[in-house]
Amino acid sequence: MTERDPERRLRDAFARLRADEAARAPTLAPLLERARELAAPQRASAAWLRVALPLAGAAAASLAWWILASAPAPDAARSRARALRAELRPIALGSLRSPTDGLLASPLPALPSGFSQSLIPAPRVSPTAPRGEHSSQAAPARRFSA
Amino acid sequence: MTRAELEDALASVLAVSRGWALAQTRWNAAEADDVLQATVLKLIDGRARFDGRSSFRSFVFGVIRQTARERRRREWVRGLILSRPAARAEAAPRGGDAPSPEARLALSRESARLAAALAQLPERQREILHLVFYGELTIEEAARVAGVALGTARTHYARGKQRLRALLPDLAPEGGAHD
Repeated sequence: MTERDPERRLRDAFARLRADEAARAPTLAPLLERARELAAPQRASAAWLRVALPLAGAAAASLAWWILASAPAPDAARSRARALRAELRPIALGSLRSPTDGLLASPLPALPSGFSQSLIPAPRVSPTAPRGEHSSQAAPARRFSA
Repeated sequence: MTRAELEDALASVLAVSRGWALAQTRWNAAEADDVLQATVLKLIDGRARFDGRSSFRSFVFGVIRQTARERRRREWVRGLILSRPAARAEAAPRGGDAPSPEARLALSRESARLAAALAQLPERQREILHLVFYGELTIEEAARVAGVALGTARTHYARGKQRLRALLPDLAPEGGAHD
């Protein structure tokens, strides 16, 4: 018995298995026939898709074109928005007017005699005053001492 | 390759292809025949084209393996969608599947033993041994069909033979590959 005998025995065993199974192996003819039967509907569906897909694509493209065409152009939309803003501005200003607005239009009351505009000192910031507070508020008596 | 050449080439590898389809479908004859049918359909309608870069036999084996995997995956997804645990379990990736009792009855005693021993091997080892010994491919071709590197295929080949030796002491496979 050589060293290759076990290998040959294994090959023989596989060959027997192959022979056992080959006895029940189908012949090619029915497989081909069945394959042709199965391929026919596939070809039909492929032909149907070849027609349907371009049509669907064209419909989608038309819809997209219609949507884009019906939307206003950017310039037109901008000018329309500008016109609308111009229309709305007076209304918005009117709504801000209050009952005291009329006082601003009337002349200021005259100062009492002995006072002139120059006597009213400009507001100064005191170093001791809290931040943001004027010295005139901190010491009101000094304002009219002269 | 013309249609007539394709049919001739198919006829010459049909029997051994069915054996490979059986190995890929747990020796389930009905499933194997479906896989073989789907493979023939793919070859005829041109979804699988032979480019001549390998032997026709290894090309067909590759298509069969791919088809069986697609089928298993489809069945698994179908089972998942329909929430059928039985279908999921049946379609789940397997390793170490024994031939069905009907399949065993159809084989001789020795062939049934070999099929049962092969079924106990890990999937990769079983595939490589089946491709080399049953399909009579070289290890390189078997590696290409199984989608593994040549070195990996050699390892699976050696380990598979070692395991078979333990499972079938009277066969005691030893020696080198015929690549």
